[in-house]
Amino acid sequence: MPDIAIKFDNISKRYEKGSSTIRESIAKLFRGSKDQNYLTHESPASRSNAFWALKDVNFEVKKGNTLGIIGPNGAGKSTILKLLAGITEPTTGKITINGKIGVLIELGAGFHPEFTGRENIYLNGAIMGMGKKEINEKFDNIVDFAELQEFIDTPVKHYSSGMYVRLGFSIAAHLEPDILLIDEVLAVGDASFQAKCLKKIGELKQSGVIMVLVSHNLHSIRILCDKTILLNQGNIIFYGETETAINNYTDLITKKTEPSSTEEVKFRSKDKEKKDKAEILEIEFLNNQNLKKDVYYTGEKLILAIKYLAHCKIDNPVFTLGIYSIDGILYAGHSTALDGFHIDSIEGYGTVKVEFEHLSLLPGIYEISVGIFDKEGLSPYDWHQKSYRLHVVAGGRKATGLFYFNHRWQVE
Amino acid sequence: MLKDLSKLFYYRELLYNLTLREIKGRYKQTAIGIAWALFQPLSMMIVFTIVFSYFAKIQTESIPYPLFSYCGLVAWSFFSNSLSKGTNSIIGNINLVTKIYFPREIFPISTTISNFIDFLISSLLFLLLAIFYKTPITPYLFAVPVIFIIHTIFIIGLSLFLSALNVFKRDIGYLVPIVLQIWMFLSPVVYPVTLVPEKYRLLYMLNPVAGIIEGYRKTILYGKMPPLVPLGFSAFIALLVFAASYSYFKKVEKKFADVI
Repeated sequence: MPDIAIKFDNISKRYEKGSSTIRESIAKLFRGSKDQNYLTHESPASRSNAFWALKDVNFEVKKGNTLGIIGPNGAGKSTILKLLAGITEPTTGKITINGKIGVLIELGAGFHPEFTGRENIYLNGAIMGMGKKEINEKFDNIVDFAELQEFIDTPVKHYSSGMYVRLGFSIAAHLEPDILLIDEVLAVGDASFQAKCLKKIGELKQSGVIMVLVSHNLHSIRILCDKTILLNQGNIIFYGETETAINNYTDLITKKTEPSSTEEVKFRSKDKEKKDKAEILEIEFLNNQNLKKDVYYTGEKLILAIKYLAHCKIDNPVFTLGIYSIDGILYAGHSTALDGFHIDSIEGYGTVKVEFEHLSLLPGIYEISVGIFDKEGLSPYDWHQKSYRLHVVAGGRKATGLFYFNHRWQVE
Repeated sequence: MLKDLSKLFYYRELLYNLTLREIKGRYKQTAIGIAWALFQPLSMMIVFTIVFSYFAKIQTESIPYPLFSYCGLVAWSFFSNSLSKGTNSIIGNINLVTKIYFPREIFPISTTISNFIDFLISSLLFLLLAIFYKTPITPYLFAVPVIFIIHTIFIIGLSLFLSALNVFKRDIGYLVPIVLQIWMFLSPVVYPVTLVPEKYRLLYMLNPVAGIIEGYRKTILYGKMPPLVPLGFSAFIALLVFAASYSYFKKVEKKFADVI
């Protein structure tokens, strides 16, 4: 096998957005049946509907290396994996791959939902060109690793997401690929399984398997990847040493002058009747001088101000705050009720502040949910679910893992 | 195309897995299981026997009408079931198409193979029927495998085209059953070709299915030479459709995951 395992040569990928009109479709259909080039010649109208997921991407991965891919949402990270896996093809450019590509490991791996776990193992093995005998030899290892002995004859549509990922990872890791593609799965499953995965990845790396890893978890990128690509809006901004890539990434986030605290609204309470009583207007991230700021250092003081408007007098409201990792794990959920903080009543405009003396979050992007609930804490007047983004970058306090806890070392 | 076909051989294990699964899945949670494969052509045969043989009094020369129509219906069911299921074979496997790469033609081909199993089972009943009506054994039976190969190539060719097109335009999924229904009555499935007026006969035989069904019938039931010209024409069309569909399929295959 040559020294270069993966080579992307001026790769661009365009996706079509939305659907074309019936007239266009019929025209296409006729053209398609004539020159067999259906969907390749678009009219200018449909071209404007397209967007570029990747633009002129070039990189190489050497044999035995692990490549990390980081970047904001929609940067094109998963598109690179899909191209590598051969699921989709580039609009322009050439991909060279030397070696057997393993199945892409991601949430909801390539399983047939009606098949049992056992059948899916054979199916995936068959996709990788393995015979029944070869798979038989590895079967027990796969099942043991996935810890699915009891459920191996259950159709995977009945599996939990954790079981899905466990089986997917186990199959991919045991079928001896030359190149392993991993999309953001290390954050799923329980902690012990995560540790097991990391260990297995380490072993595979030792044995010379090339890995391409997409993750928002900068920690796992840092410990696993030799080199890392930083992507933004389909362009490679940086490709090189992992540590530099991560620093550039946090810089990129810091430079975003847009008020990131209101970046996107995924969900807001639609309960109109309740919202008529009280609503959250906005939230602000404030530093120790009560100044608005979007990016915080680990260990810095953070004040979160929730601005509300109560249209009528509300007795004993409960304010809630949730902090989530970008992959949706609730890191902390606080509420005035849980903290025993009693609010008699609210009416009109006001602000509720939550103070964190030393922010414990390590560098990364976090999503914030806030809500105003009734006194039982059950039904919301208003609830902004994961509507705000908090960016944390490395300051003086360094650690690995997820959190920085205040601590002190001493020798006795 | 040869390269694609040899790649298929590499994936034979996968083809086997998917086909087996489809057969198992189809009759899962049914009380009589694979016997359903018998009932579809059998029940149609009974209905057509009543309508055409007793009410309309169609003449099928020396061959009893039930045997005559069942022969056509078994061949037609293989064709029509394979196409209607094959059309949906790719969009019905979104999970695999968007997550893993392997040659996508495996989907319509495995659908055709699994329908072939149904075809075999209903052929067994046909065999019993033929014995019951004391159909003589003639050397022309050797032509049957050739006719079958033409039949299958035509089915796979059309399935490749329809399954790929259906990914881009779901209308195909609605259109195919309607077209198949009309197509059946435009083919000599439940009536003899002799029923078609002489002046339209040539036009009628441009339908490749006509040559195939006539081929089966002439060789098995009448113990005669298969009609060489119509059958040759069917073979030509089948190969043409297969080659064109396969190259179209391979051309658009990588776009499936983007639009599905």
